[in-house]
Amino acid sequence: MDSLIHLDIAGLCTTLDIADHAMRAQVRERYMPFVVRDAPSAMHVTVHVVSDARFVTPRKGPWVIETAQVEERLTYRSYYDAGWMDFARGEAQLQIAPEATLENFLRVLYAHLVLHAGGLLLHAAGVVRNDDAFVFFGPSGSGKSTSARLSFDAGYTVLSDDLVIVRRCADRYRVYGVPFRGTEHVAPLTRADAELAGLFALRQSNAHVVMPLSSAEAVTQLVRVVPFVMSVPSASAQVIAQCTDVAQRVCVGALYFRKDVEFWRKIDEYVALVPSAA
Amino acid sequence: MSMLHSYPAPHSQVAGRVIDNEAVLVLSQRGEVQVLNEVGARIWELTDGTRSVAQIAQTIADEFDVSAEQAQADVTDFVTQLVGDDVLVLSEKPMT
Repeated sequence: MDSLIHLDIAGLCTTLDIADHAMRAQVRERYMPFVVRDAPSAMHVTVHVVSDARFVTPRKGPWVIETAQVEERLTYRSYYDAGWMDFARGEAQLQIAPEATLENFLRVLYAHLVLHAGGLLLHAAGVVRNDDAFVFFGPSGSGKSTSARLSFDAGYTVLSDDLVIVRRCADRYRVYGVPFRGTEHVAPLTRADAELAGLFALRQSNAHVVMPLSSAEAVTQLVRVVPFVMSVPSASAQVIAQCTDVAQRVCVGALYFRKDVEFWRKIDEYVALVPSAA
Repeated sequence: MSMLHSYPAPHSQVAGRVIDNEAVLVLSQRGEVQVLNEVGARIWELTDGTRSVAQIAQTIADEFDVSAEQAQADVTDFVTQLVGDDVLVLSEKPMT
């Protein structure tokens, strides 16, 4: 059908059913590297474009995204779009203003979808270096874009500078590029993926040092960078379990770094000294 | 309701897990993550709604080599704090 767009992000496919021609064209262009011909879909999302749609009164501060579990559905609401997701049925609906984008809805959708699939959407940069993936995580301003840009300039593949998906494959984890990026557009979108070799909590510093984290510290810091799902208590429990599993299987440390690419040498040394526990 | 004879249990909006003697708690309503030390993590483990504060304090006294009086005072303070933070809720009777 002409109204359908199939997205494949981290091996999780969604079908977007968008009757509105302009919105469909915008989505197809925006998510082009992730558009596939057809695939078994985990979610069917019906998108209704509604003129003058407004769902949240504008206010100062961070962009408002509200979610709540209401019986079987997760409701979603932001300024210009609102809808629901039913993961058991594999269905979702969204009403959206013509001038808005699906970006925030898709971020929330995939945060939950990947959690249901045994993975995590992390507020983190992801870099592939010598076929291994490294994840650099932390809150805004911690250096995700900087670490991604330095790595891109050094010739490495940047999976994302803002959000990545981590999924378990057998007894290991893989990191996947996603179309969700920060504002700096450090590198082109890519659907690449690679085995996860290490996760590093970022700390800007004037020297390069990698410090170990205790298991509880590692889990705590990972949990803090899982966006969009923590307002649902059952999801929170699953996030803690997932983060614990990741921390048990993959090398996790704190990377103190200054703005040059030499931090990779410290990572190499650390990963060689502290192989994954699994 | 006497604190010592009340039965604490996790708030429905809180998820937690003990990892290497520390507890990681997620407070969904507030979007916060808290970490409890070894004693706090043990108290968290024991607050399943079936044990009173007095019973929890006795277990802490036995396991951590502190006096019963000290354990009662510390556990009472700790539980009061967690109730205030909406991490725990109290019941007059054991919860099943």
